[in-house]
Amino acid sequence: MSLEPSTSKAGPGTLTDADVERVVRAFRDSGFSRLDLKLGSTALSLSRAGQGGEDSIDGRASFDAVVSPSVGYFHHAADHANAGLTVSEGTVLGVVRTLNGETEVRTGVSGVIAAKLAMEGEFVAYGQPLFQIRANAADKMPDQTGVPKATGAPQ
Amino acid sequence: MSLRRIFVSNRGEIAVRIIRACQEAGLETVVGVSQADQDSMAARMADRAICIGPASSSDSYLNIDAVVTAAVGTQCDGLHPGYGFLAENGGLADLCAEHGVTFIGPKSETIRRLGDKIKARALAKSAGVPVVPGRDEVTNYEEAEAAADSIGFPILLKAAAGGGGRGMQVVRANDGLKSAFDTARAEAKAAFGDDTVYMERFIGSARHVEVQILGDCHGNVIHLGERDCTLQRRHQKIIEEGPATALPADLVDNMRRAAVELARSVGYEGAGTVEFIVDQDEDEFFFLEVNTRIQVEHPVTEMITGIDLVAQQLKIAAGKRIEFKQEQVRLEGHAIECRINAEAASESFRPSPGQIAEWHAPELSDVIRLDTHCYSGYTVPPFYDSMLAKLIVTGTDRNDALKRMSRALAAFRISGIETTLPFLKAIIERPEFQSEQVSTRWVETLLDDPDFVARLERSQQ
Repeated sequence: MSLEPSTSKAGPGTLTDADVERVVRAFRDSGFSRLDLKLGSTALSLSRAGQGGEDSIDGRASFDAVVSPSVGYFHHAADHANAGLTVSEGTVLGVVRTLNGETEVRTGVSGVIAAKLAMEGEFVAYGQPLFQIRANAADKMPDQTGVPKATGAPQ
Repeated sequence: MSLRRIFVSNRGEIAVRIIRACQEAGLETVVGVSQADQDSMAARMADRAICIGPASSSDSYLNIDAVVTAAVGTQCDGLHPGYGFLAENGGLADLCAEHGVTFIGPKSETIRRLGDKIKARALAKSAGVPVVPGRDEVTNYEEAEAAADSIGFPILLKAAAGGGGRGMQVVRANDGLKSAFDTARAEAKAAFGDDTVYMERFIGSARHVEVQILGDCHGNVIHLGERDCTLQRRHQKIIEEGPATALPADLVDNMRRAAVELARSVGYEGAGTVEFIVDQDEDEFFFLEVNTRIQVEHPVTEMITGIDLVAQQLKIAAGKRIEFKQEQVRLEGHAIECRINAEAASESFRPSPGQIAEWHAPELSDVIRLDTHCYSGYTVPPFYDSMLAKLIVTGTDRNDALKRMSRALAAFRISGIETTLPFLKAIIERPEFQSEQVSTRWVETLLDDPDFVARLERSQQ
């Protein structure tokens, strides 16, 4: 598991909210079952609640990532930004701002926001997951959503 | 001013080259990659890689807004544009400046003035640099006829905007002028959105020779010798070498001086190249254009001068003075560079992307250099330029370098995709090239020879 260099303004030995988000994300993507982190006065413990998670409880449920349509700064739409909220296909969850413009972040499926993966104002890469949507089974789409189709992108 | 973290706004071998130079200078690097390049050598070498867009370069490497947003978002204080893509785009330099990112290259005003062929030609004239007899800003056929009268046939017609060979037409007599003019105009309009044409004398037996220059913000301008890039196909360079041993020494001296004069007259900052066309029949040289960036073939100069041009770019961008005087620049030996492309030469240079099964390079040393982003198992994406590597050798003289290049090419094995290795080997062995009896159109003539193509086909199997 590796972490990208911190871009926060926090001093040494402290973790900002953005740092914690990053650690959680990296942990989620890793194969580890437990993480203990101590940094100065901050302690963070992460573990996986029940291996397999919700996917195995409801076999039909699946998660779709809403990924960033652009490199830039993510700003969430206040109404939809939280886990637990029901969304429909095309719901605007926020925008990604570049120096000269902005692009809307839209869901590709209807379902429930399972997780918000980017902080307000966070700098994000093109294609970076911003939300996890627990899709309604009938609406499950095979592709990631939010990213304009790259012409002939490999794989 | 000093730089700390450089955003590398390019891909392929030049991204790797820039990252190396930054690492040696103790600078951090962030490379902006397209979705297709997330696993590239540059992405793995840089301190950080950030995805700036999809595979299509118009939405990634050519997207000024995305590039500068990524540079700002990753707290870079400098941006190196490499070559191609946005390297000569004044808009990129402007947006960088607006957001406090140092653009590693000349000022945007310099890029714009020199990037416009007509303005550049006028600048060259006023700096006393010879230009090919011609006429600027031809917008209608009556003007074209009048210009043809004063220039004399054969005549070359080009798009006023843009670079490379697009929109170029050669017309040899008056009865072909109308249709050539109409075609040049239509192609210029289609390629650059501007149908202004410029016309000039067409030189029958030409060499392409270019002078490497360096300028700093303290008014110093020097040259680092020249490169002979006469071997081209459709205006794409194939083999470059330096110094220009085929030309008389006094012509070369005058050309170097002219390049420095021109650069000085515009207050040139950074590394640049002044390109000339040499009329071999008349032993005359004429200004072609200035490239306001690092060139693909810059290693030729590095090998004969021992000066790291990318490192110099970084220093100059940070406001430092050029560390050496003109008389301290020594040109030693002879260097040759071959561009190895993923193309099937015997099939009209059809691009050949795909996975490289085997990549076995010749043993590298002080006299054999390889600039590349490729390795065994790498998949060459189909979206970009097909260049895989640049093989550069030096020798005590041209013959020595030629022999070394032959051996190095023979030792190079690439399988899984088609490459131009067999083509390069065949070119290097040709007596015309060995004895320097070539012109900018020689390669195309050679490719019209069925015997040469047949042999090439056999060697590719």
